[in-house]
Formats: sequence, structure tokens, C-alpha cells
Amino acid sequence: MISKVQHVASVLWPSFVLAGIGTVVLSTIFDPLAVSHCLGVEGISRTGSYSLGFFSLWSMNIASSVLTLYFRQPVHTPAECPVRDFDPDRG
Amino acid sequence: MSVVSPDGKQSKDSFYVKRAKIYARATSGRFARLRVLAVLALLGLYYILPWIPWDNRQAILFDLPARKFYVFGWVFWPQDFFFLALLLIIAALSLFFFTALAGRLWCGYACPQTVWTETFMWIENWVEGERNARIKLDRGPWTGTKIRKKVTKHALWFIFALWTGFTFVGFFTPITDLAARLYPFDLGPWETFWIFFYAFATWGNAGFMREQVCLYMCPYARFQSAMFDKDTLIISYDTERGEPRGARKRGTDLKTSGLGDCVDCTLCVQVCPTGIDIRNGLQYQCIGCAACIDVCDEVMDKMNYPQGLIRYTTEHALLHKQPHVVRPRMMVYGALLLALTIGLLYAISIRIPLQLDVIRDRNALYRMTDEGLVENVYTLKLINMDESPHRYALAVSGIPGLKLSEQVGEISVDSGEVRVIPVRLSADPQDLRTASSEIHFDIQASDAPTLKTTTTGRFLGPASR
Repeated sequence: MISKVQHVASVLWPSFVLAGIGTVVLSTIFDPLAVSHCLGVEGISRTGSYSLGFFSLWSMNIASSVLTLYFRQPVHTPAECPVRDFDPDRG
Repeated sequence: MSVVSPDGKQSKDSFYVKRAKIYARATSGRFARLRVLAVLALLGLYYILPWIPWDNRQAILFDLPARKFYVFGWVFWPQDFFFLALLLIIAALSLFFFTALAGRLWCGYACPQTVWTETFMWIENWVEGERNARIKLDRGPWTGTKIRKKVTKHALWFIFALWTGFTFVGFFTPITDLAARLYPFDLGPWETFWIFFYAFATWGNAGFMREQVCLYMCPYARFQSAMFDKDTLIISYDTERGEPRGARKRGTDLKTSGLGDCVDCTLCVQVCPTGIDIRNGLQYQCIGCAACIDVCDEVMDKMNYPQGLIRYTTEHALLHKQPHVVRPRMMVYGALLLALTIGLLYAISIRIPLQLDVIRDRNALYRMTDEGLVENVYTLKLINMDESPHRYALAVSGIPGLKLSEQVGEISVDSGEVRVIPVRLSADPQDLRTASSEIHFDIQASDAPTLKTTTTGRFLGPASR
């Protein structure tokens, strides 16, 4: 069993770190302001475009982490079916 | 679903264990003084650095709006990402080196989480009192005094956190300008947002999360043991000397009572910021702050026992074996660290603040001119990353007789400016050996001989032979 803080942190924190790294790497290749303009976002400062980029990455990463947690819950155990003498193929 | 909580009570509908709040007792002593010194030095650096000027600008400024990064005399561009990557690798290697040498020095003295938590705990201690007073206050009813103390603590935390957030943004926006716009308030929406966001993170991490950051969020805490060996400096309780532990009167004869040196005062547990008992051996929760050493030494002094029942030692030393400082692991980490540091400094020193990007026209492979020459079209991007403007001359080579269809003349580019230059190159098809030939664009500053760079490109044409 884990604490609630650990549960929440395990979603928010790795996504935050990766979003930070992603922002740094991506912004060295693309100018976030140019990307914003390409996406049709007008009237935004460059600081704003960096921030939006960061938060988009963070929310995507959060979504991914949440889905990971969601899908790792055990849901299916095959029904137990013992071997029987009756076999319809043999009639 | 019902779950048994650690206190043995059944709690309904809870999937979680409850966190026991840690009330760390304040310590004084050698290592506490060392920690205070580290806190003052590191926080001093953080809060003062952005205020230091350099050549009419801020010495350290990560100017996001201009996409330029000033570090004292150096100016870095997003294109210089390589240096940042190298710097991060060096930082990681230093962490490995110092961890192998002396354990979790980083965690105990230098980690921002430790440093800010320490400061927040000083404030808490100052407002709410010592450990016992704080426990009593938290357990007691909401009286006027309790409300006053809690409000004061949070107000002080909040002001300190806001100042931290303001400084953080000051690394990205010139801080003097930022300060000037505080009153009357004229900060941009994103500046305001980040100040509060960072303040909130500081307040949450240093005020509430504390040791949970180390336990749940820190990757280093999980893998640092991989860098440990039997000669790594660790904080350890001397079981041989301390056991059997037990309370006793001062002056009790150890031989007749059969007791070890540990008086079982539990002070080492009370001072621990992560809530462990060091006497249970090395644990990954131990951040190496040495608070238990300080407090145990105090107790040993009072009992007239020698200090060091809990001390910095190594596994080998505890087993009475010969300790080794120089060992293969240290030499490998050390050599790599040295090589990379020298490499980085060298790379920065020979860095040419000039970049030329060549983009081929994507619409046409090539074109035949009226004179029967093959022509290719390129867009050149010339970036002057130097602090002063320069004039540049362009030359092309790689194919005999390759020439610019139109002379571009001298190209003047301002400091930090990007010039886009469309160029057309032509060559005689007789001189083309293959359908795609490698060519070179040489750019040379006419006012600085060392300022030159070459970018390769491809010249396409009909394969003549």
C-alpha cells in the first residue's frame, strides 16, 4: 500500500520532469512562438508560447501516466474450469 | 473495502496508508553548522546571482523572449544545446563521483529540496517552537494562539516563497526591470503566473511535502546505492559499540551492567528529517544530513563516553578492514569527469559565434540556364551569434568552375541577427561527375580572420559520365 501523496506524485511528478526536458529539447529545435503562429494562435508573447508548450506537454504526460495507472489495475482472471470426463466430440 | 491502518484501526474505504507527520527536532553541532553554511551559500547564490550586472546586462540571464542565454561573458543560443547536454552529463558524473566517495553529500547539504526545507523549518521552529511544542500545538484545540501561530508561519512561508518565485522569474526576465514593474504593478500575465506557480511549488515542497519528495519523487534516492561500495563514506551507528542499548544512570559501570554505549534516548530518531532509526542500519530513506551524529555526540559528551557512536564511516572501517579512498570506481568516474570538463571548456573556447544553415530549394532539383549551365537554388541562413556586428564574404567550392549566378557581395549582419540570403549556384554539366556532388559554402568575416565557418550542401545535376 502506498500513501495518497505517493500515488498523486507518481502521476504529476514524472510528467512534470519529462515535460520540462521536452520543452528544453523541443525549443532548441523549434521556436515556440513560430509553432504557436503555425497553429493559428495570435497575440501571444514568446514567454506565453513557451509556457503553453510546457503545459501542453505536461498535460499529455499526465494523461499518459494516468492511463498507465488505470491499465495496470488487475481486472481479469480466467474462469476456472476443471477437466471433466464428458467430451461432446466423442459423443 | 476496509483496510487496516498502521495504528491498527480499521478504516473504511481507504486504499492508502496514512502519512505520519514528522516533527524533526532541531540540532546544533559541527554538521548543523556546516549545513547552515551550505544553506546560506547556496540560497545566497540563488537570490543574489540575478542581480549581478555584466556589460550593461544581467550576468546570468536565460532570455527566453530573445532566445539567448547569457552566462557571464558567454552568450549561448538554442543551437548550442550540445553544451547544455555536455554540462548535464558532467553534473551527473560529478554526482556519481561524490556519491561513490562520500555518500549522499548532495542530499544532505546541497539539494534544493534540503536547502529550502531547512529554511522553512527554521521559520516553523521560530514561530511554533521546538519539537514538543509543535506536537502539542498540532494536537491541541484551535485556540487564538494556535490560529495566530499558524497564520504567522504561513504568512512568513508565503512571503519567502513569493520572493523565491520572483527570483526564479528574474533568471528569465531582467530582474531589475521586473522589480521596477512591481509597484505600480505592471507585470505581464505569464510573469505573474510563473512567480505564483514557483512560489506555490516552493511552499508545497518545503512546507508540506518535505521528506516525501526524497522518498517518492527523487530518482537519485532510488539508485544512489548502485554507486556505493564498501569504502563509501556513510553515516552509520556502531552496533558493536552501542549494543546492547538501554537506559542507565550516569556513571553506571558498563562492564557490570553489560550495556553498550547506546543509552536509547531516541534523540537520533527525533532529529531525523525522514523519520528513520539509523540504528537499524543503512536505509535508502537516509539523506545523509548528519543530524543524528550531532545529537548523539552531544549525548555521548553528557555521558562522558567518546563521541562517534553514530559517525561518518565506511562499511570496511566498521568491519575493521583497511579502507581505500583510491579505487578503480573512483578512478573511472574521476577520469571521465576530468576529460569531459576539459572537453567542454575547450569546446566553448574554440566555439565560433557564427552559424550558416543551407537549405536547398525543394521545388526543383536543378534548372538548365540559357548558357547551358546547371543551376541550383539555395536559401542560406546566416546567424551572427557574436556580441558585435560583422560583415561577411561568401565563397563556394567543391566543383571546378562552380560560381554564384549573382554576386551577393558583402553581407552585414547585426549582433544576434539572422540574415536569410537566397543564392543561385551554377556549374558546367561537363564538370559534374555524379548526379549529386558535395559542395562547400565558406563564410568568412572580413573584419575578424578567425570568424569563419563552412557548411556542406549538395549540388544536383544530370549525371554526365
